[in-house]
Parts: sequence; C-alpha cells; structure tokens
Amino acid sequence: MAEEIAVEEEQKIEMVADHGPNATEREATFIIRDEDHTIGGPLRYMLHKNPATDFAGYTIPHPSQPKMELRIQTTRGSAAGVFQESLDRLHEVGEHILHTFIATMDEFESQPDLMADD
Amino acid sequence: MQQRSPNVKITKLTEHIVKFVLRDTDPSVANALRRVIISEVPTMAIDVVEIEKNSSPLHDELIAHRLGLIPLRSETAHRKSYTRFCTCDGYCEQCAVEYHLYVKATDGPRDVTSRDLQKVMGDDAVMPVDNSQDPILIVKLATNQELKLKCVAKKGIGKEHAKWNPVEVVSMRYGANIKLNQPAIEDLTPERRAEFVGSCPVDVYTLDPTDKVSVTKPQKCMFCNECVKKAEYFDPDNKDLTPLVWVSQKQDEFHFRLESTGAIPPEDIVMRALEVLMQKLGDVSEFVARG
Repeated sequence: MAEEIAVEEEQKIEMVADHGPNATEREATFIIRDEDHTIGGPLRYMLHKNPATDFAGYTIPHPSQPKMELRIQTTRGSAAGVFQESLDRLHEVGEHILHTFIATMDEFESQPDLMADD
Repeated sequence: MQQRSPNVKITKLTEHIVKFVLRDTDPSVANALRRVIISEVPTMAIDVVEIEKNSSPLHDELIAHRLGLIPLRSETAHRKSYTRFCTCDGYCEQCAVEYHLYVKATDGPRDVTSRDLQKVMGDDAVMPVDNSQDPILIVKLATNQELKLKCVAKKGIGKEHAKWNPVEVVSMRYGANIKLNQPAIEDLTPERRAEFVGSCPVDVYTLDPTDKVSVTKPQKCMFCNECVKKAEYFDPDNKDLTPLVWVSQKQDEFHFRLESTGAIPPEDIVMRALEVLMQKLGDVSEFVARG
C-alpha cells in the first residue's frame, strides 16, 4: 500500500499589495521566508541607492519566526521592479567580489611577501 | 545609480588562516559576507550516533555531542545532498558518511581519539581533520573499559548547529585613518616623542634614528586611542587647539581575519560564502520574477 506524503508548496516570497482607493503598484510589502539580516541589510542599502525609492525598510517580526518583511515605496516605477533591480545589482556586487578575490589569490601566491602586512 | 567597484586584497594566507581587506563597499555587504561565513557555508559533521557499548567515564549523549563537534574534511560538502532531500531511503553515499568505532582498553588505559573512527561508507575524503598528526581526544578509557558505536555524518550549516560552522573565528574591523600633526610633533622633545610612539600597544608608530615619528603600521590599529590620550596628557589644558594625531575609522574598508577548523581551506570558505550569498539572492529573485 502506497503511503501518501503531503508535499507543501511553501512560498519563498509573498507580495502584499496595499489595499484601498489610493493603492498603486508603486507600494508593496514583501514577506520573505527563511531570510534575515544577511540579505535584508544589503537589500535595504541597495534600495536606498536607487533614486526612484521613496521608502525602503525591512523588519523581522519575531526572531523565533523565520520571516522577514520588506517594505518598498517608489516615486516612479513598480515596487516589484525596483526590488528586482536591487537584487540584480547585489548579485553583481557578489560576483565582482568573488572574481576580485580569486584574482588577489593568484597575486598573493606569486608574491606573498609584497602583500603581507604583519 | 552610482555603483562603486569593491576591491579585495589578501594580506595573509596559511593552511588555516586567511586575512584580507575588502574596500569600497557598504558595511551591510561586508557584514553579509561575515554572517554567511559563520552560518551558511555547508560542511559535514556527525549527526546521528548509535551506541552499542559504553563503559567509559562519560555518558552516552556527552560522547555523541563530542563526536558531532569533531571537524570533518568537508571540501566536497557543497556537492553532496542534504539527507532530508535525498532521493534515497534513509541515507546513502550521496548524502552521508558512516563511521564505526570500537575500542576496548585491554592493554591498559587508552585514549579514544578521532583516529579511531573507521569509515565504512561514503566519500573517502570525509575524514576527521588532522587525523594522524594531531588526533582529537574523544574520551579516556581505563583498563578494560570499552566504547562501541556507529555514527553518521551529514551535510549541514552553522545556522542549524554550531558544529557545522567551518571557522573557529571570523573577525571584521574597520581600517584606520591615522594622521599625524607633524608641526605639533616637531614641538615635542625626543623623550616625549618616544613616549608617544611607545603608548601604542601594537606598534602603529615608529621613531626613527633621526627622532622622526611616522605611521608605519596603520593596519594594526585597534582604536584603543591610547595615542590620543597620551597626546591629551601632554597638553591637558588644551593650550594647543589642534591635537597631535587624528584617529578615525574608514567606514568603507573592512579587515577580515578568518581561522578555519580545517574542514575547508580558509580561502575556499570565503569563495563558498560568496557563492552561497549569490545563491540566496538568486532564490529570492526567482520568486519576484514570477510576480
């Protein structure tokens, strides 16, 4: 007899758009599962660098719950769009740091004494 | 949007330690790297222990706890599956490594160490760190005491349990901006200059044979401000309005120091951490794209 195992489709992100007559696509709250200050901090930083961002902030409602809420309000363009853009830019930053680190590894291996600081 | 280009320079690399300087990026990015290094770089560690015989001085769960803390060579950990997601039934070569241990102290008191773990299934590379050079003590047995157990190591991250943390330590601090007020220093006697240079606990300054004071090792500065206090001591009434030295933190320069447990080479820990960080961003990105 086959056992049935229920597989839950858990959402990584839920976008909660504002309600009411003045709601537009420019404001939204994103509820992100299983993430914390590790990406919350850099995301907030990158969002603030975007001139289209009117408001950006994140909070972790309770440390026992693996949930992060990110609020974005823009002056132009959709909140989701600005969010996506910031994610992409952060990814680029990560890639750049990785490539630069690999390059400095090679540099160090060839001239260890030049780069040492002790 | 102005995008700065971050810069990295390694300043020290040994078997277990790497030191590097990350420049021109925000503290949140540097901190994200630090956090991922501690809690989200996967390693292998013993996670399930089945004890058959234990007449040692330590109780079962204490030994199991100690086994979990033994660092295992985890260079291949990132290629393995997590046991809970593996398609196998129970556990297999792709997601776990099994060891057996049996020691009976028949010839007198004997130490049980990480060398006594015999691998019976799984990746050959996943063995306790420093297996033969510096074995890790598990428990000491008196004559005729014995310990017999089976254990399974699995992939995990530091977030779930500190045993999966690949580093002993990772530290991060700001770089130092140290500027000497040379005209004011010229007004000091050589004795006072020596006193000033000597006030620094980590020798940031040097006094050369011509009694010239210079900043030779700003990277050592830990912002204790002893030099600033010494300067104030020389001039307590603050008759001179400009100080002898200005010490401030460079908020876009981060000095990292990382000490590996031996599970993963230190430079690989940094690279894996960056890959994990990008993977997390990618995972979030995928869902935003779907709407």
